[in-house]
Amino acid sequence: MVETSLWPELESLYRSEFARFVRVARAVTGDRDSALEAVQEGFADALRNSGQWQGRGPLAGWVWRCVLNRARKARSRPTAELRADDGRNGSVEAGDDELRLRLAVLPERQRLVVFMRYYADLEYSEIAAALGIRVGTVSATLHAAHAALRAALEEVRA
Amino acid sequence: MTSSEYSPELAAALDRLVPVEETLRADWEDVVDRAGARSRPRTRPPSRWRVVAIALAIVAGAALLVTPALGIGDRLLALIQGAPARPEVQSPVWSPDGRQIAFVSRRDGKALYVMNADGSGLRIVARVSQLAAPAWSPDGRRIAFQGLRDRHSVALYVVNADGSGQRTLARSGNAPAWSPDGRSIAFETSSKLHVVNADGSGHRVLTRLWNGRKESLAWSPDGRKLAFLADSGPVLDHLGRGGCGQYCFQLYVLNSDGSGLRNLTSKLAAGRGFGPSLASDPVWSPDGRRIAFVRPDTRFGVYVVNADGSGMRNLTPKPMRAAYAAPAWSPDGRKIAFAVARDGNSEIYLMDADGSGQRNLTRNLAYDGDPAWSPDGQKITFVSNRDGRYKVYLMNADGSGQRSLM
Repeated sequence: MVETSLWPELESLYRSEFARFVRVARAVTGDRDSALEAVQEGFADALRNSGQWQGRGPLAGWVWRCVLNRARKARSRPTAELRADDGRNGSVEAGDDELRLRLAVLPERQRLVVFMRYYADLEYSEIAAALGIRVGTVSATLHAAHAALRAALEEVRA
Repeated sequence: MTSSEYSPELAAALDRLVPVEETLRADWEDVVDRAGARSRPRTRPPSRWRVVAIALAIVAGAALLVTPALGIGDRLLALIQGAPARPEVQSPVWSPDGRQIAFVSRRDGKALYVMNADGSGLRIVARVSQLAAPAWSPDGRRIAFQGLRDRHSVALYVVNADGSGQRTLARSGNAPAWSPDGRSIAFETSSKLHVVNADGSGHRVLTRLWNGRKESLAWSPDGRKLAFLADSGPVLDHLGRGGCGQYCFQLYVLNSDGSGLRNLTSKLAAGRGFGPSLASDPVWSPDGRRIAFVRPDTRFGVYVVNADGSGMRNLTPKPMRAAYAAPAWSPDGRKIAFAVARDGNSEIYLMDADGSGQRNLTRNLAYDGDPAWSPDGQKITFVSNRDGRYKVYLMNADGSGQRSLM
């Protein structure tokens, strides 16, 4: 049985935040199609299992967790890749390649915090709920990621 | 930036990596359908990649059985080409003064051999299981190499050219590369690049990388950069691997202080996805501005790229379907010797550094490979089995005067 009481809230979150979910999922999976798939399946998971949420923490954080889980599973399958020289989108600057590599060698939690902070503008409390960590840990993790990425950014600036 | 919680620079750079999508359509009905459809069996056709991966695994498994002593790339290549995978003589390298030649051979148990450039004075200087990657110190007095320390780890060793004084430089590591000033040796482990003083002291990590296979480390001749090959590894996510996968090596360059890491082959990876390596056998041009390498995937060839990643060129666009290997710049940087199996077996070719004037220096039914220039640019050593056994041969740079040194 699918619990229905949270449907309106989930639908409203889906409609208002769809692009942000896709963007973060795409950063994780590396391509648009599997990102879209992860968002659809993640929200479906949230809908199916909405009884599990039980009002602990922000609802959005819990849905993020569902979507990220799907995105991370999708990533473990070989997929088309996110590339700097994907000519269809955006410009490419010297140093982006370095940034991409530096992101790749970050611990996964740091990378996810960066994605959620920058691609979805999430509050620390929402990031904490999504990753199941404390708010203070979000702050420390983001700080560490910033420090690790500084070299790459200086490269971008140079 | 350290104290701030939001970096506008990082935001701008991240925006370029994953641009905002303008054309997405949300589909809530689809979400509802999926949520209700849990009990319905999902019938998804097997992923195309899974099929490819299984096929590759079968081929690789068979290859492992056939040639247990070789690298996976060699095994696959051998299987595809039906040729003896790796000659029992490998990697002849000239000492910097041009008076001696070191090589690895299995002729008498795998060992590192040194002989004079005229073939006299052949001697074994080191014997370690799976010995590989010999590299002369710039002063020509020592040779660094890698070998199996125990069942699990490859270690780095250094030995005097007369065979004395062998010692362990690092208990774990591969691909030793002497800095041009001879003071330090760079090497690789699965997730890091390291530097150690030539006497084994002062070990430090140059940079941390993703976990995976690393090969072919080399300093640029001016000592300011390092080039190496790395695959995507089992854990690296898409952000670093540019669409390639395990055992798919790509070419990277970074500054010798560890900064400025750059993937020179990302453009080759674009649009291709999973597959065989995009680069093998990289070598710096003598002026340090370019790197030659061979591309072992479907667009075979000897490629040249500038150290900043620009100017990528296939110097041998034809024939397309021939396996190239071992490009070697002449010391004056004007020519490149290489090996290619255009006629069914590997031959040594020579061309100008712009790809013009290609001609073969060897022509027979045997294997001829691994060309190496003498430091004065007058001669080229190579490996051949034309008289039945693999040996080191010597010829003039125009292909004349070919003779065995052993």
